[in-house]
Amino acid sequence: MRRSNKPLASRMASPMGLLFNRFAFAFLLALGLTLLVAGRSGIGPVEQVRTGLLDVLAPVLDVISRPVSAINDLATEVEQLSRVYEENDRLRQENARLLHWQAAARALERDNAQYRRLLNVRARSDVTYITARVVGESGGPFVKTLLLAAGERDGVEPDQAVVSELGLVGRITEAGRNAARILLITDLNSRIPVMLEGSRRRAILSGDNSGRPLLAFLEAEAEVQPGDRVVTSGHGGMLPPGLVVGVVASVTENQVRLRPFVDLARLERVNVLRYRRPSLVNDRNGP
Amino acid sequence: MRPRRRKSASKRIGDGPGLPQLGFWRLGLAIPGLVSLVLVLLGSLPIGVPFLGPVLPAFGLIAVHVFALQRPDLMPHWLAFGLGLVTDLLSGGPLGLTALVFLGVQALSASQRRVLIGRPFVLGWAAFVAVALAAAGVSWLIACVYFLDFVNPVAALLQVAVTVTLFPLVAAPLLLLSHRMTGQAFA
Repeated sequence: MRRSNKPLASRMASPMGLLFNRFAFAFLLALGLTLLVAGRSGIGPVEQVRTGLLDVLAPVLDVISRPVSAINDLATEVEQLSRVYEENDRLRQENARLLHWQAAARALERDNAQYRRLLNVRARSDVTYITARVVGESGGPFVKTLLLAAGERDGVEPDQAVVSELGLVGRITEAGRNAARILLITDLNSRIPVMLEGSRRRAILSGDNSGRPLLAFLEAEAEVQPGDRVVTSGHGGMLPPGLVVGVVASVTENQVRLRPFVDLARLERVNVLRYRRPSLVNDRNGP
Repeated sequence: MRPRRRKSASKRIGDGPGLPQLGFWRLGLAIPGLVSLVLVLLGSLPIGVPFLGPVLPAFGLIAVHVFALQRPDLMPHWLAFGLGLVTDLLSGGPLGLTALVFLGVQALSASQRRVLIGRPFVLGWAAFVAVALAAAGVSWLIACVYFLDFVNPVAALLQVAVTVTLFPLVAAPLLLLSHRMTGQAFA
């Protein structure tokens, strides 16, 4: 055995040192368990402390993540350069198809506006956006969250919906002054009221930490098949209705799974929606 | 076997009367903690690794294991616990889960010093596989109890696979650093 460890070993093995070590271990073990219990049951200021510390850590991550973000951008550009001709051809075809859809959408928009006027339909509440940078992700196997470099200072509040240009990402669960946490739609604790866009059948999008969340509580008589689009239903008033979420990926006897439109592993910037939820109380005149 | 001769007792940061000669010894004592903290922060960056999804390697686990094995005096219980707490804060997971796991890994790895120090790197790698699997198992159990649900263990196993694969890349510089601090040759 190497004798070079002697000073260290002798210090570690001294009776007082051993006693202190054991005491420290037992104390930290108890502290860890207490934190778990307190966090689970919401006892004490665990959440406030967590949010406060998040505010301290987020700016550090913001600085460190900038070079990583630059490298990611560079890698994406190089990847795109390698297939620029192929991509150009695909975009040309898509453009032709979209021009056709644009004409159809304009006609529908006109019709819709006319019907709304005729029926005196109330316009949807205003939705405004806050665009923010993603500076961190959970990376762990048991939670699916993202850290955002925007907080209450910028108007971000808990329960707001977070979207990217492709669709729903998740919702805000914690908001500090400078930072906020997004619970992704794939997280075990995420439950989003959704519906099938075509048949308007309702369901609850329930995350299970896999990349394909479940469509739970789908009505038994609902006809569903892979490829059906799923949007938020707006029930519960937390999220605006009609946000695109994804498409049905697989249908088995017991499970319907969804493939989100958004690649949740490669998000750099997202939009937080400031949505004024419908209320029975008249905000202007008071109750 | 004849014990290997130590180059110089005064080169070991944190030990003996030679410390003041280094001048920066107080800073040196904080190196393992700072390096581990940087690794924990790196493990939370949105790197966007293709095919892995949002599961990233547990760099913090590697740091706690290596330093607890090489310099347990510079990776005490409280530091491992604190690094775990920072990981929990960043991940948004149950506060205390990773802190408890890192505490356990620190105790386990430090207790295996006599067995693992001076052994070939491959043996150390194999030992880390066992440590990472045990850590994932304990984390998974705590997560199941915490969420009162059956948590899919596949992601935890995937993280073990990624972490174990990247172990040599991360552990080699950490080993060099701790050996440099100790003044020993590479084991």
